[in-house]
Amino acid sequence: MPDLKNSFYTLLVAGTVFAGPGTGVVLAADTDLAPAGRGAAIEGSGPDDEATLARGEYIATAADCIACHTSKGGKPFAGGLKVGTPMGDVISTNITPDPEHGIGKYTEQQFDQAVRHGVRDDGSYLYPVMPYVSYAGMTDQDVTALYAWFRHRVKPVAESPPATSLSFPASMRSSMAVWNMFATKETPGQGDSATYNKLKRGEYLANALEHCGTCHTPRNFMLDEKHDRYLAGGPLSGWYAPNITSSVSSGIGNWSEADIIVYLKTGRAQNHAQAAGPMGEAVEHSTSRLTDPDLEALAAWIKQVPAMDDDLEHKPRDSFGQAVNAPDIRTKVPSRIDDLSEMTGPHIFDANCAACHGRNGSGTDDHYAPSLFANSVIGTTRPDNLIMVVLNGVNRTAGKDHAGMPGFGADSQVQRLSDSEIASLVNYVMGTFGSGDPHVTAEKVASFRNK
Amino acid sequence: MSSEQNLSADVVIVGSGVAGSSIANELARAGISVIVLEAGPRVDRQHFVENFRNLENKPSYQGPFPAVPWAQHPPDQQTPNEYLHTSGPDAEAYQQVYLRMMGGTTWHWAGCAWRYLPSDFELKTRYGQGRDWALKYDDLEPFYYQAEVMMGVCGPDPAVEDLGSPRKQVYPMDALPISYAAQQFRKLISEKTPWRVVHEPQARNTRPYDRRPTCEGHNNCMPICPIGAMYNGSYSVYDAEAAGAKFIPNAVVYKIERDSANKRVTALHYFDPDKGSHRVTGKYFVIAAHCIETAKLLLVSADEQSPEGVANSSGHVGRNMMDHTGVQVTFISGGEAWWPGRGPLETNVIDNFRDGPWRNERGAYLVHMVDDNQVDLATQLAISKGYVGRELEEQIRYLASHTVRLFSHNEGLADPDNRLTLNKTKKDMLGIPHPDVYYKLPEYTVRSCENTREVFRQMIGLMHGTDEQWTPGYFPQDHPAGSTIMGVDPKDSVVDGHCRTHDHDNLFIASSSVFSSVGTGNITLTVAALALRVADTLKKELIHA
Repeated sequence: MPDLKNSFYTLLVAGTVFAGPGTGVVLAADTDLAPAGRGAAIEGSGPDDEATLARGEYIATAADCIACHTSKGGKPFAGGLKVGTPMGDVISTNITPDPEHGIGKYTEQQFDQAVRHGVRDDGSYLYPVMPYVSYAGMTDQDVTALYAWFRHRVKPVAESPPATSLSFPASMRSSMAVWNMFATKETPGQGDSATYNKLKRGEYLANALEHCGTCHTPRNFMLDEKHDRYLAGGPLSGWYAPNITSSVSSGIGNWSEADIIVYLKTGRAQNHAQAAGPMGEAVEHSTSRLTDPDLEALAAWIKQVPAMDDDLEHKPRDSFGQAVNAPDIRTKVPSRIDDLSEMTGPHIFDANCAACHGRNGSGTDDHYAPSLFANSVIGTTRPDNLIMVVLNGVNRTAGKDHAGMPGFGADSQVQRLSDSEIASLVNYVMGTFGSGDPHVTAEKVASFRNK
Repeated sequence: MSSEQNLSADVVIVGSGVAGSSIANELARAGISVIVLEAGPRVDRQHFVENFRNLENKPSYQGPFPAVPWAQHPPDQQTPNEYLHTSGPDAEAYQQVYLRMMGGTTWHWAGCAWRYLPSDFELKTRYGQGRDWALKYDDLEPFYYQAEVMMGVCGPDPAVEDLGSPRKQVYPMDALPISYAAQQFRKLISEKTPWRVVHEPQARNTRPYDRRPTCEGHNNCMPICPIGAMYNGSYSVYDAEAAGAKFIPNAVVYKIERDSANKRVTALHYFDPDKGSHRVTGKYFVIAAHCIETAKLLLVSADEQSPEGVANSSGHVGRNMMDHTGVQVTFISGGEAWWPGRGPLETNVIDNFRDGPWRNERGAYLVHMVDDNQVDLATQLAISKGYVGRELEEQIRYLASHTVRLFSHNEGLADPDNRLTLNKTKKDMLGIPHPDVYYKLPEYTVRSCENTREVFRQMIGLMHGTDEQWTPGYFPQDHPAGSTIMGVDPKDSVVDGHCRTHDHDNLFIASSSVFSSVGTGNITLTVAALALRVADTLKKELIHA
């Protein structure tokens, strides 16, 4: 989800002012948008046949609907996931075909209005945490297939998650109408997306389905994606969705297509990076389930994205560091057990990290625990993702491949590290294996808790 | 010195190990107020791990956990014991170790999570030996499963490997992968002997569980799992706290106050490290302070009302001390290298001797093939043989990959003469006496150990073993039990089948101290199951009250 913290309030205040008494007009004007026609059936098939349903399932996977529309431990697509904003939690809705609690009564046209235009069946606007500006790029045919699949193959769940209840002015969904008016949307794809050539297919996957830009493209003060900074990186609820343009110094220009493919398929590209947090979820639910040709197409598209340099990153993030034999900090005697004075960075690393990542930071031989050098999370100049990983851990499954690291935050069962311990640890790890000591403070770590 | 502090809760628990913390968790989740008094300090994993890394003597299980002066616990088995003073013909065999720390002794166990066999609860009825428990296996079965879920126990598919304790559910987690050494051991035993090697149920993660990672096979379960893949009581402490229970560290309980009729406990008194005294009142009280310390506390609390100690009208508090006192041997296999020391320490057990008709005359036992790293032992042996230089290195490599270590848990028997008393002269800094234990291995157990030695000799023969090193005498297993023994008759037992003391209506004991017999499996899962059953009883009484 996009980080709404910095600019959402500005947007909403602005939106309310702009909207004012004219909101109704805007609404009326916007709902006049030409409804999408019934998408053409996939060649040689009827609207709800197996080929269409299979297409719909794949589109739902590629568009990663489940990521937001399923709460932790909840039933698939029944909604209830909270996305924090300064105004309150936006809570995802039930999109199962239950007629009362879900979208069972939606016509295909209403479904399309929500998915591609951000308008609910009652005419009100969705909050833009729903990436409809990206989904706007879907072909009619794929929307039809998606609708068919949701209607016939998703199990109805007769429960409603709590309604989103934001404080004023965000409570006025009408303010979203203004945003919608200004926001840049993808243009609907034409024809059969399955017949696109490799690069066009890659573009379609990246923009209309996977909505990479939702997180990886920075946003302007109106929270619209800055299209002149496409995929150049942006903050994301505590995490930082890095620059994935072809810039060698700031992006992933030094990655091969094969690196990108293996990353999207497994969540890790050795000696480059590994996915955690929202990207870990995207890999788990979506990219690891793409077909090989689609992964190749997506990688080809990403590989040719124009390079965007970055103010802070001047050397590839995965090019830093080497195995460093930690200095000998052994005392040969145990410290008195009730002496709980805070340990220094090397000791915190030794006691909490070295068991898996090795004293010299080289990880395990099978890379289950990755090396800490040649690792984008440590080589970046932005400590955000390392702080988030230390606090929240990693829990990612791609196919049969699971990656796990316990969190060290306030509800850890393994070890609860304080803000200042995490600051010392992050500074030590980045200073020893990465781009240099980022001088993270305890206060900064505190600001990352509960993001 | 008395404190103004007025502490009170529905239930007050002494001890924060697996028993105390799991009761606290269950009660707090039911909305019952709980205070847990822990004698030792609260220390987190990273400090134990750092201590372990700092230690030169890595096999020292107690080393990373030095005691604080106000809550002493025994140092290692190998060293002269300055706290738990043992005497009698088999004094050496009762040098038990345990921890007085928040979270308890499961900081350094091996995660072996056996259920007892149904026969273990009926030793007297079935074999005319020892005692029966005042409960049956079936009474405990649901709580065994609850304990397995709480700890996160992995185990074999019961349909493939029936361990003799009937189960209604499969294990919460799948079995561990079998190490190379264990594969070799299994093959040898199944091909060359009438016995079998089973996958020991283990409270360790074979998948992420309870916000903890999967076991990576650091081979370091004892003294400290460095990553938290193995259960320990600290997780239940965290869970209980999240549910609202209050834990007070460095609170050394020294007195159990009763009403004038001596029927109900009214308060517990504890010292802080400065010997400030505090009084904690409650409706129910649970002593969950480990077999040794629980009996010690009841005895220390002797006063005019109960001159022999609290809950001790039977005179059995401190008696019937049991263990899985066993036999241990290491030797060098003459066969292929089998590289022990990869994966968890203890996962493979020969379980053929856990029950049989011969139990009417000798105790049962189980045999552990200990899968620990043997470089220390190999190095000592190679040096003692006079190797130097390159040959020394080669010998260490050879011996470390060929060392076999076997030990047994042999069934103890309740004997009132095996007794814990208070030391008359030695006291801790708070003035509380040290515990003494007199121990003579029962003949029943001696015969069991003789049988084990014969089995071990056969195995050494099968493996063409050399350089046998037998642990002299007997091997303490740190599974003390029996000091507040369970029974139907208040005249010869301390607690009833629900772990309620016969003497005091609102005083319960949750510890291996209530065991009426000690069986062969490691005791922790049974301690946890009994504790969860105590929690169940308390919930019913408090919620209905």
